[in-house]
Amino acid sequence: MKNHCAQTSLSGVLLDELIFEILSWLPAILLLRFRCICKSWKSLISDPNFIKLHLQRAPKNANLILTLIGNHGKRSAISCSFRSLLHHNPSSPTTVVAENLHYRLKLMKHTGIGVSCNGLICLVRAFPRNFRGNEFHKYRVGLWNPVTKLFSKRSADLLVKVEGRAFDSAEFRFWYDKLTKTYKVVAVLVDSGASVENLERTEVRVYRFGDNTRCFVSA
Amino acid sequence: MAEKASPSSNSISLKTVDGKIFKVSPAIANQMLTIQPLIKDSDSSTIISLPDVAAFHLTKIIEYLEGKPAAAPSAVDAFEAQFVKDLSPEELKGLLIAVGYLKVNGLVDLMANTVAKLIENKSVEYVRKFFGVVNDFTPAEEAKCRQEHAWAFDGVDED
Repeated sequence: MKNHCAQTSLSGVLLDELIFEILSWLPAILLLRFRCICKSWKSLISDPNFIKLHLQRAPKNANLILTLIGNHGKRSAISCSFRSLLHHNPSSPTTVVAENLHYRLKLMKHTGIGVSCNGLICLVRAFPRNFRGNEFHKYRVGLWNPVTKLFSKRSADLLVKVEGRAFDSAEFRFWYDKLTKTYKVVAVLVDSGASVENLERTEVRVYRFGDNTRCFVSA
Repeated sequence: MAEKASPSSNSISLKTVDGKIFKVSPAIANQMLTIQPLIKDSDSSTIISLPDVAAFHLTKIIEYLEGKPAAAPSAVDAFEAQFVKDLSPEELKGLLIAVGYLKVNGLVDLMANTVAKLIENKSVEYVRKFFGVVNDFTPAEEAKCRQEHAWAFDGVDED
């Protein structure tokens, strides 16, 4: 019963669908290599529906992105599997997904690296209120995939405007909300209160990516 | 595997591209989503033709659909591993296409995942040949695309 698979004269549409399925199971780093197969694979790998499916399946690959800070503030992003960390298996491979991250960030005018989730890294750009640059009134948050080097579109950026007063530090965390299928960002804005009667003020805000909606505020 | 379906049976007859007729229970046939609508309108004398499925593939698909529910929940992974173990790359590809055409419950994921593992460590050239993909990049475009892989900022002078 061998040699019967000659009848693979299937329509290109079906094969495309199947390639979509196959690629969705591959680790992100390999998608980079396969972008060079042909034009339709390249556009498929950047397709929002594909990225969504790949993200859903990505946890099964159980990879973790770590950002490392080396000498002179050099930053790199590496990917390694949860299993290798848990079992302390130093010989298992880690993949460098992005070197010289600090330089890349400078080009994108981003000032901070937030946490990572689902292989995406949260980048934060702070806009100073004055030329001294030590008070910030606006933050722009974006998501960046260091493997595909795709950055969330400007419209999907998140502007955290601080009305009235300046906050002198801000922390950002983000996660994927399975219920609403959106990324959410929590911003903790801290005003150490040096200028106002030694009162420290903290504000916590939750934003939803995509529509710039602030869903929750706690002062 | 009778040439003609017997009218007394409750089973569904499926005819493969190489002319073999398989009789399966409605419970098995219903898990092939592509033929599901045809089952409703068919009586026991109907033969459903599957123009893109060879007998070998249908045998494997039925083996999966009958074997998986019989396996204990803890043994499903072992059953699936065994199911794909002895298939050659070409057989995997043929079976994936048949499974994709019939939209077999659960089996599309297993086959796509298996083929993904197969091409994981393969070169661009191998993957093109395997899927019969024509490279429509110009040499310059392909060189550019390959170059983008290497981290684009290597060797850039720093401040």
